Amino acid sequence: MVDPRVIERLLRDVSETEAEEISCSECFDLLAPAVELDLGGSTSAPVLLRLAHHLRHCAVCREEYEALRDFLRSEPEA
Amino acid sequence: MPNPGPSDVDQLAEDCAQNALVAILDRLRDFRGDSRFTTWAYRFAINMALVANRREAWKSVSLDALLAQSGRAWRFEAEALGGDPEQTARRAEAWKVVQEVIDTELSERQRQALKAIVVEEVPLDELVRHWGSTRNAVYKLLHDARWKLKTRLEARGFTPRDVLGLFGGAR
Repeated sequence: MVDPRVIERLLRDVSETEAEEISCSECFDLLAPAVELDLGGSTSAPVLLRLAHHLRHCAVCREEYEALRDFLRSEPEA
Repeated sequence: MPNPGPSDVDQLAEDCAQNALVAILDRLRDFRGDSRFTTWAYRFAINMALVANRREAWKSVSLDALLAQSGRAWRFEAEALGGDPEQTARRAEAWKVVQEVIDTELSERQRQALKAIVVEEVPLDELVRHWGSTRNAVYKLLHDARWKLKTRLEARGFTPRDVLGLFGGAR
């Protein structure tokens, strides 16, 4: 029997699916400017909104985004 | 990494650093100046490190065994989420649509990807490596499966809001 939390996760993802979604390559290309905008407080910048949907549905890209953001945040000059 | 020794970590770090440097030099012409160069370069190192870490964490797991019986991965009892009889009945109806799409309209690869990534929480990179594929291809496989499920549910009268209402808040 599948854990109900897995079902919830699957159907939440299904519900939020859009006809066109950016790929992992496109996400990788947008990472650097997006993280800098995020750290600069521009949380509603178009590039961030574009990325947000992909990051909600791709755990590996999300982990890399958060790691880059956290790393830059910890840099003394950031 | 599960139980790494100091030398394991050092070796992994060195390998990742070298691989990242090669990737940066290879893609140097792609830098467009829409971020700091260091930020642009760091993402290669982070990508390499996390991919390697996932590889170490999953290296002892047989994905062949895990992917077997992908079609039988989705047994679910509508009563498990509680609610009144009408809600439970509607949930069972929606789940029947989901099960039907998974069993009859998704490809075997899509079924396997759903089972691996959604049920077993295998990192997408590991499935990419196992299949000799690419992140884009596996993400697209999953996206197309999600889209099919969404459109079939909508065709049978279950809007995204309905679905979230029926299956959300699982404990």
